[in-house]
Amino acid sequence: MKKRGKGVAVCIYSQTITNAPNPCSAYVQVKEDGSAVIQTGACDLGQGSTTVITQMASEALGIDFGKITVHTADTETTPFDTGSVSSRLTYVAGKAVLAAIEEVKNVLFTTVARKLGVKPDRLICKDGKISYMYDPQKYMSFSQAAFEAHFVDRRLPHGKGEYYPQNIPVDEYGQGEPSDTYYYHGTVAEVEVDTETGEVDVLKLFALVDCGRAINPMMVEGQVEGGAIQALGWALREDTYPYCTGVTGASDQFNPDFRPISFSDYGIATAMDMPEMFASNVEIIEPEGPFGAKAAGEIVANTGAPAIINAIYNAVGVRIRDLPATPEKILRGLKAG
Amino acid sequence: MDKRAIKFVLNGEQVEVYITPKMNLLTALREGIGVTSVKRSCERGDCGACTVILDGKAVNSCLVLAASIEGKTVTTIEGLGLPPNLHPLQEAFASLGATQCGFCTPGMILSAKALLDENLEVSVEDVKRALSGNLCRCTGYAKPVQAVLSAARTMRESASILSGTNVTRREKVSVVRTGTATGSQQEGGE
Repeated sequence: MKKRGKGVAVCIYSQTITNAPNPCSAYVQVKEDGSAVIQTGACDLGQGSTTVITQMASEALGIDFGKITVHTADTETTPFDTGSVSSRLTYVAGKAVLAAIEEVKNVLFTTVARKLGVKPDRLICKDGKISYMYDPQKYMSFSQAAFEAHFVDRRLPHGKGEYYPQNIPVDEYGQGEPSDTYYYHGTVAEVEVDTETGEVDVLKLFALVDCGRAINPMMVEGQVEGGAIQALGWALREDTYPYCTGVTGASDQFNPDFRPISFSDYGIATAMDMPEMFASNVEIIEPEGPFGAKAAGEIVANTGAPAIINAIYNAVGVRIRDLPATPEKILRGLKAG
Repeated sequence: MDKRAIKFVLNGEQVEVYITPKMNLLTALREGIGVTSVKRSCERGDCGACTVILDGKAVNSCLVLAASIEGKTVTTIEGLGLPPNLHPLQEAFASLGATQCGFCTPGMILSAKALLDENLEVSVEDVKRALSGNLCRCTGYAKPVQAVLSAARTMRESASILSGTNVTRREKVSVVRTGTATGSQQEGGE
């Protein structure tokens, strides 16, 4: 007999390294032709930090994506970043780059203010122009402003920025501010359990992350999808026992001869395991974040497994307390009643 | 070590490489010719990162003896296209966000290419099965499946334009952003 069930799980997660200083820094140069070069230690491993840095710089400078070059992660030439860890780069590198861009804008706005005869704090960057906020007809093109800064006002539109997230460690009462901000994730899982074989079929996964503003919604969605499948693997397939736990000797629950040595016996989920999925984000703007962003990093793997385990409990009343929820454990649970 | 030269066709060109008897095709391609787009990962046929197309079939190059490919045809990701002339599969993977760290991507695209070379009218299930030998930890397979379906649609439209049976305006394929219903029987995107 097949029984269906639904389960939900949510979590809160910190971002940035919580117990050590972990700055990021960036240099931004606007060239005399109005293109921009960003140098930062922030390393993109495929999670998309270079993409979101470029997007944020494009928005802040008001210039086209294609006019921005980003050099990253070169210990000879790029300024310090602590590392692509703790879901920190969108937030920390974003703030560092935006801080550098503020210095660049100070130089450019001085030039444009002189040229247009307005106050520099009444200027905005948008659509390749630096314009007077009360009269868009009064503007200088971004590239013209860059040129004149270089050769008329004799100031280079270069900037440097850094950001150190706060790490106030918790005291003996557990009070402190270990992280600038926290982000959230939740999953609802629907499963079907076969009460004769113990097999679990994940029918649907709904997963959402609260990442603050999603600088790149497509990439956030991809990240949530990836986490959902990783969580499915943890819940149902991946097993290292007793390889990692150090337990020796036979017991009626575990096979001490099982030594996963390859992807196929460890059980990483494949495309065939992918259920119907809805993955997205809720956008609650973080006031401290760069353009309101927080993070969409490791958190995405956190709630899928407990949601599936809760769904199994909802379906057949078996509470799995160690992963993976193998057919044997479910049948044992059903027999125990 | 007794080395000998073998000749085969790589991405449409005749090549020659020195191999040793126990060498696998993966090593011959990476170290012998310098095609590092073919990735070394598990080296036991589990993960698909070393996938190449050999005489039309997607294979794990780690499990193919280099000596056995004398005179055969091998395609790696460079054989599909190089920027700016991308194959629809490459274009779809890039624009739909189907690649994150990118390590599994060449192998995945080649598995998909082998599938689409046989059949352009693919369903979600066909695509999932074709990609089932390519492990990915980053994407959860959702966008890769969407990308293959999108590329298949583009290739079907091109084929019908070329054959003159159906003159349609070639539109850039976009994917509905509000959800990822990849388990349904319909194609996951429009």
